[in-house]
Amino acid sequence: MTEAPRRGGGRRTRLYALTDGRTTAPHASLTMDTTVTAAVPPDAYDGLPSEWQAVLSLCMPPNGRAVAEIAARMHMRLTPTILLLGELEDRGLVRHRSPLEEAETTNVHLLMRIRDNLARI
Amino acid sequence: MPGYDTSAQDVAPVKILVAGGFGVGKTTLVETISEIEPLRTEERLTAAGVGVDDLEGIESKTVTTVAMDFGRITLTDAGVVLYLFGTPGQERFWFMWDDLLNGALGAIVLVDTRRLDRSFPAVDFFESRGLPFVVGANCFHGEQLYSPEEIRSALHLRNPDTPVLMLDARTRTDVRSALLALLDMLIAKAAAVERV
Repeated sequence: MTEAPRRGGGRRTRLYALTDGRTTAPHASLTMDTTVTAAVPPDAYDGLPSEWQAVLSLCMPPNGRAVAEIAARMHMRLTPTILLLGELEDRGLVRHRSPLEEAETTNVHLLMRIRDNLARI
Repeated sequence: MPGYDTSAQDVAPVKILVAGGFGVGKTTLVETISEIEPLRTEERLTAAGVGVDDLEGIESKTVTTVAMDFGRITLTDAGVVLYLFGTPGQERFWFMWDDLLNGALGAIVLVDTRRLDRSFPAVDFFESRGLPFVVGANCFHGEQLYSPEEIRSALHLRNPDTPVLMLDARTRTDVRSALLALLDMLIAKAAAVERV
C-alpha cells in the first residue's frame, strides 16, 4: 500500500466498517422496493453493532420494511443501505421478499384483489 | 417466537410511480393516501457525460443525487404492500435508474394544466418504456379550465384510451379513484392477454 493511513478525523462510523469493506453490490436482488424482515428476535441483537440493531428493530416481522424505507429512516442513501442489508442477510439476520414479478403483476386475480382491497381503504 | 422463521408468509411489495413536473403535487398526493408520513430516499447516479456540455479538461462524468418521496399502503387482504414512489424531478436521469421502473405496476402522471409542458417528459418516458399510466389533472383551488378530452389531446397521448381524471391531490377519495382507474386499466389489459 502506498497510501499513508489516515489519522484523526471524526468519530462517525465509516460505511466501509458497516459493510466489512464492501464497495460493490453483490446483492443485486435487493432493490428499493424489496421488503426486508428481521430473521432473529431482539434478544439475539446483543453484541451486534448499534447500526445493525437499529436496522433490525426497523424491520420486525410480520411485514418488515422496504429497502427505501429503511434507507430513509436510517438517513442513508440507497446503495449503502443495500450493502448493509446484504451483509445482514449473509449473516442470517434478515430475509427479503422481492417485489412481485411480471407474471404476478399481470395476473388478473391478483390485480382484482388489489383493486377490491384499495376500494375499501 | 412467531414470525422469525423463514417459512413465514410475507406480504409482497409492489410499486406504483407518481410522476409529473416540479410543483405539481406529487408529494401531496402520496401524503393524502399513504398510511405513513411520506419519507424521502436518495440515490447517487453516475453516468459518463450524456447530454451535458463537454468542458475541456474537466472529467466528463455527471454525478447527481436524485431524491424521491414515497409512502405506503398495506393491503392485508390482497397480501401486498403498495409503495407509492414520487419520481425525482430530474427526468433526464430516469433512464439511468433501472431500479425505478423495474417491477412497477403502473404510474399516475400528475399534470398542472397551467404548466402542461412539465409533464411531457413523464408521458414520453412511460410511453417509450411501455409502463401503463393514468393522467390526473390536479385541480388547484378546485378549478379546472379544461375538459379531459382537451387535456388528452394537448398531451398527445399515444393510447387514446388512457384515462384522464380530474382530481384534487389533497382529497383521499380523488387519489383513491385515480389508483382504482389505474387498476381497472391493468385488469382490462391482463384480461385481454389471458383471452388470447
